[in-house]
Amino acid sequence: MIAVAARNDQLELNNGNVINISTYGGVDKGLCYAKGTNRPVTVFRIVVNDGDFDNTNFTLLFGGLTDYNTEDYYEQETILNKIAKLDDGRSVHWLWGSMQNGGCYVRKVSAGRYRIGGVSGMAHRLSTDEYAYVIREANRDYISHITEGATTGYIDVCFMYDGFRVDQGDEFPLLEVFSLNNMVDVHIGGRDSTYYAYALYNQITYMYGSNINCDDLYDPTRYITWEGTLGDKPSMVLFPQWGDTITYPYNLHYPVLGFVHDDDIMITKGNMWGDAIVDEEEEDPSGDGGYSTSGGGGFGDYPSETGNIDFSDPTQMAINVINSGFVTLYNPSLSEVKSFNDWLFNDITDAISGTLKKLIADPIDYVLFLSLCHFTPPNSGAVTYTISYAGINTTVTSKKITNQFAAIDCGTIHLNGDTQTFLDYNPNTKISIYLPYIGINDLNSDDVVGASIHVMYYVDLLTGACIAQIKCTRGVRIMAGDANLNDVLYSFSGNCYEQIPITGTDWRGLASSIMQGVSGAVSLATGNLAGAGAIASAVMSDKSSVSHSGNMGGSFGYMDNQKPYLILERPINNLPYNYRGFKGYTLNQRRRLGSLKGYTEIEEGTLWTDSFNGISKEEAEMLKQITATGFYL
Amino acid sequence: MKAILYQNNSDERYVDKSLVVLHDNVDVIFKDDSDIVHPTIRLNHTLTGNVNYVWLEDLGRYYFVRSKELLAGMLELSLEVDVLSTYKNELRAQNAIVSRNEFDYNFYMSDEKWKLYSYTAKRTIPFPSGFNMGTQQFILGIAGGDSSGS
Repeated sequence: MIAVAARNDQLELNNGNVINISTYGGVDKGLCYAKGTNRPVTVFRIVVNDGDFDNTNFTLLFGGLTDYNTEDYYEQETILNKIAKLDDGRSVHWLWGSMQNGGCYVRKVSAGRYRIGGVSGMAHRLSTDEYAYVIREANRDYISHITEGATTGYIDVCFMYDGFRVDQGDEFPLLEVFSLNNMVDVHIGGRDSTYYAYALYNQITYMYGSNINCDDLYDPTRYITWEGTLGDKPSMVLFPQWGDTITYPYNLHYPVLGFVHDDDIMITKGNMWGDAIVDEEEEDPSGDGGYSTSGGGGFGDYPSETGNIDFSDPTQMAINVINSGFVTLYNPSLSEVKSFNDWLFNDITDAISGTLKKLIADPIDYVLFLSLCHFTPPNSGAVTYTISYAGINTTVTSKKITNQFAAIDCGTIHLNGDTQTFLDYNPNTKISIYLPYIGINDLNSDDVVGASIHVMYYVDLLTGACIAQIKCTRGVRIMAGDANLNDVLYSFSGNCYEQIPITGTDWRGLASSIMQGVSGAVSLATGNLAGAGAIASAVMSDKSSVSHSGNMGGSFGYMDNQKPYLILERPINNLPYNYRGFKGYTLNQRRRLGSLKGYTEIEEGTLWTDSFNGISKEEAEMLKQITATGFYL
Repeated sequence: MKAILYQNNSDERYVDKSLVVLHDNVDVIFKDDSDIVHPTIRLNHTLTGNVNYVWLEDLGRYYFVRSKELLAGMLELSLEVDVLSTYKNELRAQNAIVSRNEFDYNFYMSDEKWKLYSYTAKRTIPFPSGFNMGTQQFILGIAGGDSSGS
């Protein structure tokens, strides 16, 4: 389930609570309130039964601070004294922790004050099997059994906290949800003195391969979301974006807006990803031709719904060759085939033979075909039937085929991008699929990366003809103009029977068709090949295109692998250490320059200096050139 | 005219420079043919330290020192305006289309500056099920009609 909300929207939940997303001091924040009140409440609970916390269900809580200081920073004591209330009245203190130093522990400093620290080492920063939060109930503080200095194993359930961005060894903000027990596998980054959310996210996902959507992390209109499963329920978390945390030593970070767990919780649907970035002072952004909040030409106007083309499923046809009466299909066992062979060639009496010859010139022609296959067709089960041959009952019984068409479900795989970058898509990553009895065919990586891929075979049991349909399902990706997918995008055909020749004529025909079908040509792309160290698109587009399979139908396919598989080929990027510090990464977004830091390049012609006090024309040109070629904010 | 002479320890491309004041409140005069972008100043002052950066109070601008000459007992500094530091407040208040940034970026935008190895990474992902080599079933097709079941 994907839930979206527009900036300044109010998300109304089915439990009556609402989430207000509003702007405060130029940075979005969100608090969840009990409907009709100003009392912040826990929006949702993820109940994790880990048995470690007083043998009760552990509840990971999401919520907001009770109020916000109007200053740009909080004193530590102020933060620590911010209390969120649970629905049942219990208080929750948000704990702080250190990602930079790896691992987490909580130590009580004094009454109502806690400090979390950790040990060094990036590799260990997620290696804690402890979780930490504090619930204050009456006069007793429930603190997890994290002890000072303990950093081992994997995080069972991670915690949320809020804090400052400070130097190594001190507290700073982190929002993270992680659980092994309930298959929650999501990480979002925190901020420390050296990493931003996305950079940290990349490292985390590299280690753990989580399924996160992060986009434009420094855009305060964006939200980090996660979709996945908690137990067997679809779940989603909304996290607000970080605000402007460059300039000030103490920065305000915002907690999770909410969590959706199971379809019981509904969130009003908006068009968050399509909302334009509008500066507060800009009344009518559509005039500048760049962004618009509504109407044509802006984001959010592209159709995003798909036609939902499902599998064709011919097994549902009411009329087929089975009930026509002209053909009977049997599913005999090996011994029954042998018995039928004996009857056919040894047991036909003169009387039967005479009858058969009156009906047809060559009695063997009543046998349309005999084939082998690597699947169990739909049959009559325990009920067997006497094989009827030209109206004459043989001495052989067999199961009957009950449907002309069979369905073979090859299952579904979800394909995450390996790099979580543009390299995962065309023309960089090449994806092909091996399909039994069909061979290897190319898939468009733009279709399948980030999607669930479901393969279904349908077989015509009369001929062995098979089709493999490939259905791709994914939601709208975090990019303007994208649409969701839930459609059969590919359909390939083959034949999945191993034909057994009954007569010499049969064999000659079969052998001939097999020989004609053999191929194995290799073709190479022509043109200039990119050299080592070339840019991304040049390398992949110049790669040789090599045929991976020939004719895979019939006997060939009968001998080959029987399950489909994907073949992924992706480029390996070579980014030197701190590349982004020298060159940055692509952004292509409109920003207020004061919201940025570090290496920056401005698109030529988009920096207007007319309002710069006293600037000369020559200085303006110098400034435009420097900002276009790269400078450091 | 008053000037502050600094040692700049930052790369010229930084908006905010790491400056060390070497000489404060220094009297300087312009050379006759100076302009505000590339002025030449003269001062009768003994410099200590590596003076490579100047603030000219009257012009309200920061400058890089491009060359130093000693002429007739006067030190002559050729300067070039540092537009980044001089106009940093206006710059930060400005909106622009940012093509690249160190911390704010979108990895799903193609980046032509990335370099790749010539070889690629290849792997397979099997589907969970399909046909089964261990299953061998006969299908027998017979022309004509039904038969009795049992």
